[in-house]
Amino acid sequence: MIWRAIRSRVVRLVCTLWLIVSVTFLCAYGLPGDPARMILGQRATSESIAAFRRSAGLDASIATQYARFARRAFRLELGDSLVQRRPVVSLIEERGAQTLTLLLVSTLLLTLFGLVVPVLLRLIDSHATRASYTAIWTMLAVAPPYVLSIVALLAAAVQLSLVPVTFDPRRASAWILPAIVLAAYPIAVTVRLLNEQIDRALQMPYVTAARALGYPERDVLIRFALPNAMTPALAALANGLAFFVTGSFFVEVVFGIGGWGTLAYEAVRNKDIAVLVGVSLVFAAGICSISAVLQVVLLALDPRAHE
Amino acid sequence: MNRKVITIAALAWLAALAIAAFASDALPLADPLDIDLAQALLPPAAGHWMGTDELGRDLLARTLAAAQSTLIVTAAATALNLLLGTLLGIASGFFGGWIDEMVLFIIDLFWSVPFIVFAVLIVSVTGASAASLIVTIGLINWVTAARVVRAETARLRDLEFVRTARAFGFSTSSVLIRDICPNLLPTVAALAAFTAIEVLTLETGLAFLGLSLPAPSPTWGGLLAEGLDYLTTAWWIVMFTALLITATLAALQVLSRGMQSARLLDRS
Repeated sequence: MIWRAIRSRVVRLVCTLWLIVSVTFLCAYGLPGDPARMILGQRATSESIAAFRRSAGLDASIATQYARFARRAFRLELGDSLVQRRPVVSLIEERGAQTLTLLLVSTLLLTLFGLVVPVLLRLIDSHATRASYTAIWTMLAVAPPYVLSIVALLAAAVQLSLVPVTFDPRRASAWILPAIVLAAYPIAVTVRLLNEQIDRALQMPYVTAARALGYPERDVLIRFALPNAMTPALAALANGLAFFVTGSFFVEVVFGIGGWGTLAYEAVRNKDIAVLVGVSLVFAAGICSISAVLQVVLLALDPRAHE
Repeated sequence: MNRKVITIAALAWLAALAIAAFASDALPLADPLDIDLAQALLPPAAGHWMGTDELGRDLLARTLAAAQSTLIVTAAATALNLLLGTLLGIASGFFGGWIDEMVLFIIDLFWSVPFIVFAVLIVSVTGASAASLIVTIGLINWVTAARVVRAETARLRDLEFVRTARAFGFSTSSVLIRDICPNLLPTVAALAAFTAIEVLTLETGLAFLGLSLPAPSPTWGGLLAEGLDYLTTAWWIVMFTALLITATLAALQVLSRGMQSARLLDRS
């Protein structure tokens, strides 16, 4: 059962990666417009365009180009940025650390505020605190990440001077605000789902049985309700990662974090298609792989999947 | 507060925004493109209710002009999403079999790919215009609609009245048009608000990255990006736009929740 599930995940991941490569290829080469002119810019002469088409193999048939593009994409040969005059791969490597740090801090905060704190609030058993905790995150989550990060930056840096306006990656505290902003929406979803699931589990006959056997309420929650409520909540956590991709684009740009989001933003501004294609590929493929791995881990954790 | 009051407030906000946006030419406002450097970066005051930007353009007029284009793109892309999602969902939920498997597979693929990345790529390659935004977002964001409509169609298909109609020998198309479609309407209505939230978020996000209508015409995302450069000196540029975006999304959120619960009540 679990092996079958893992196999289907792997098949899906391969299909997804293939789809990502194909869509990227279609975007870069299949859409109306001349890729050579797009890459070299409007000022390029027709001789240089012809030379570029030959050297880049753009005069070959579309099928040959597609095969070559796919082969190179899987080997991470992403070509050169014509604006920065450097290989795209080295740019992506150089910028990766900041994006990965942001994602890591966000994931930690998501686990803390999405799973740990709600359970602790249950333990002190105050319905009012729990309701206002959920309400605060739900309200924060209404605003999309670009709005939330601008308002957070305006409030914390400009008005209250809590953090410097310019981002300094070496200060550990500088990461907290962008990471919270990025995690706000997934936290709201996870908190809501976890609470729903715990409430539902608490209605179940096995919980009544545990109470009848005289387990204290804390044990009922931790040992009986929580493990059953956890799987969907962890799935929401994994979904949060996919959201982080979208969000980190904007959060990085607003806070001035020099990661992949900013790299893509600069590429959009400079019409640097090679970089944009490279970042899109790495970003999309990376996130899909991480979420596939997480899904397999979740399956392994869920005893129901072993049956 | 009463749920009904909140829903009416949400509807009123959306209606007021739409009217203000489409009647903004008739309102006694400054021209949104009118540059006056002597009036640059003025804080909100009597002449300019929301202040002015770095080129002295009236921000109230610009925000409303931006609302017009944003609402058009959002409405059109949402309609396209719903059309695609509903068609695929009905086909998959009603016919089942290999059609269902194929549609489910496509849904799965679309679900796991972070499509904002591709929206950015596609719009930067095709060039940003209202049409390219509508088509790109419209073709990308149909997955939720397809999922929900598929589940609802499959549920309806097995209900007594549909089975009776089929037993009487009514043709498939007649059952689809007379029995399935009318009963899908509440679902699609609830989906409309939900999809509009996703589309508006995506559209404004793309505009924020500079992928929307070209330079002089204002967009909400563009206003945010502009204001980001003047965050320390002119807070009002981002503040009012942020408020407008958040209020509109919140209103849509209220409608989407309201319709979902109305539907559940209806069923029980």
